[in-house]
Amino acid sequence: MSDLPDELRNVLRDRADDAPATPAPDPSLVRRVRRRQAVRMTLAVGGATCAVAGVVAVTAVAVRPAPTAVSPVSPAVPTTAPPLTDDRYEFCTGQPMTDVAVTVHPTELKFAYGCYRAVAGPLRLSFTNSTKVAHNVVVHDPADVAFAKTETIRAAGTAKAGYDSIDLGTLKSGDYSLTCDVHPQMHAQLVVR
Amino acid sequence: VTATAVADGGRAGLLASPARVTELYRAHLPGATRLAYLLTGDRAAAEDVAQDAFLRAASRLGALRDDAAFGGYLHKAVLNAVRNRARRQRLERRHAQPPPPTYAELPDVATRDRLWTALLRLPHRQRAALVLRFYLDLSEADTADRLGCRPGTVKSAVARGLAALRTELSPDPEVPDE
Repeated sequence: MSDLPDELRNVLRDRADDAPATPAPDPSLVRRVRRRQAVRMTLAVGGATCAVAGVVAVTAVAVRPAPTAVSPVSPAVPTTAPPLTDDRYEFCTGQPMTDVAVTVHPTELKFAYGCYRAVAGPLRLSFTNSTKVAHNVVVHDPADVAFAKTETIRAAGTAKAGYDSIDLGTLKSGDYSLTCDVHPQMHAQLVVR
Repeated sequence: VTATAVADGGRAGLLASPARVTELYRAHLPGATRLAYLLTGDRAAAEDVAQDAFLRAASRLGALRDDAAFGGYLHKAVLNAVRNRARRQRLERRHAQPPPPTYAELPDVATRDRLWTALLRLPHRQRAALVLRFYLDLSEADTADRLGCRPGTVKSAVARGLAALRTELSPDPEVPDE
């Protein structure tokens, strides 16, 4: 073969015609793209927020070492907590509840707390969303199987007036998790003991 | 930019508009599919790779000021997706299948088919360099940019790829009669 590059060029152009035809845009395409974008932006904003909070905290400590200088920007427990042990349970937010009251962070895409703890037995979950963004709560058992979910609601003024309540049945001890269907990056733990 | 703005109605200005996504899809996906097909030699895989690469590239539209740059960005996403797929396949082959037949075992096919078969057998970087250089007619610098390497690396990959193709296509040395 005397001129391999030319021959290769011809072969590639011929073969390119065999490539599958492009299907029409899937109706879910835009939704999938926007969801990826939203996750990417949220992660970027979260990273920037952490960086700013870190700088603020370091500056505050350097300038005013008194304890009153510290002003936390977000709840102390991170939303994405590592797998819980009983040690972690001790640091879980709030008192053990017989009913679980979940709220949404007022300014960020996350639940107000990264961890809720409850007493084993019959439980109800009440969900209050005072933001303009639609959220719901999906409850997953320790095997990560979703078994209950609230309505998708937003702030007062909508049909559900920002509140929904569901019966979780009788829960055994275990580490359950809470997520939001609308914003998969929202995650919290429900520790039942 | 706040997370809330991303999640509520304010995101209209931050996220790609449906019309922009659809327009980019129509303009760039056919080319991406052809590129993926030339790199994989597999129609089904090409569709999957191109769709996945488009989603990845489109999710970064917010950082892209000029839609003209989207094509190059999509090419990189396709190349990465194909490379990852090749790695997975290599692992699977290592554990599950015998090695592909050598050229001598293949039936005698037309030269162009032999060239195509030989091309698909090249290592990913050599194949990608040849496709970018001879199908998309990119310069060495542009090819290096897409592949994330230096122009010198492209030059050697192309030279080695062509040499390998020549070797594959050269007639077998005649066996002397007894």
